[in-house]
Amino acid sequence: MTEDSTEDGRDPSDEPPGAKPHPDVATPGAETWGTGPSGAGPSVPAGSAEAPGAGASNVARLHPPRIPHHPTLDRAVQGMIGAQLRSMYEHYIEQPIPDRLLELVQRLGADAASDTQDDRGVQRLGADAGNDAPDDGGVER
Amino acid sequence: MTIEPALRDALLAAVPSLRAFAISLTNDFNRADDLVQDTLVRALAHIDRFERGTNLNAWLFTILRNLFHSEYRKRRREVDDPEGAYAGRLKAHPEQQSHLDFEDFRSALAKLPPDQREALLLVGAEGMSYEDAANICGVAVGTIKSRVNRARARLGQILQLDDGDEIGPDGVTKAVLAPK
Repeated sequence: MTEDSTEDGRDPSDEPPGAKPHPDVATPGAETWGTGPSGAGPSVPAGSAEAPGAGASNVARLHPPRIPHHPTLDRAVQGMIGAQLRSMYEHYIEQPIPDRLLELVQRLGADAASDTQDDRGVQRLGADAGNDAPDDGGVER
Repeated sequence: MTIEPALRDALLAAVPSLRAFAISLTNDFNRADDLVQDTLVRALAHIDRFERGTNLNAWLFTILRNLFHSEYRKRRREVDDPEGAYAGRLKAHPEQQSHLDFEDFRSALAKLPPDQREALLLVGAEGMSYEDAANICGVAVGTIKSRVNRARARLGQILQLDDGDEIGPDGVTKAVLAPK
């Protein structure tokens, strides 16, 4: 499987244009999470190996797909993961910033008024960072 | 070198997010703080390369991400959090809004491959667009989408959320609904 394919081999960019995230999982950047098939779709999950042909429809009704593979539940799981991820991230954002970073930040402020001190501090801390770190990559402008 | 006040304020404002990203990436507070410090130092040293008016956060996240991978390549392993040490550094545990346990989720996230973890964090937690995340990681947009989907699926597996146990009908209801 190539990197650009999903777990089930679908390209996520191939989502039907009408597909909408479940309201319960709508989030900022909701397109990230609302990748399940549209709720208005067929009763059998799209792409399911159990998708019946005409002769198999009765069998499918007698033995419906297992609940865990229902697309609505998939979206709910995705929403749960997304909510937990954001909750964790927000919690980290709210953690107090340690003194050493605060001191660096304060020095940034002082640097604006004192170039000489700034250069000294950068060189000292820059040596700690190592010289083999990659550059700032694709967003250099 | 002079940093205008607006840019300095923007740098300062980015610190909490940079730190959250670093903590989530490394699963280690000390490493995360090292990364943020190195990121700020490097940004300051090369601030002349930053074009005013463009996305400062994307630039900073790129630096941090590249520093992380540089270190990761050298270490070739993830730092395991000694049991309890991490939790002890948290100011307070977050309110639980689901059946998932915070520590379970954190542990599951740490098990993701770094490329999937960073993609998920940038898009799902930081709220960046796929395009910005792709630029930061230096890959195609489709690759970021794939990584996010894989990360999400893998988290579901690790947390055993793909069997319907955490949501939907409970066992009794399933038994009632099950075909005879």
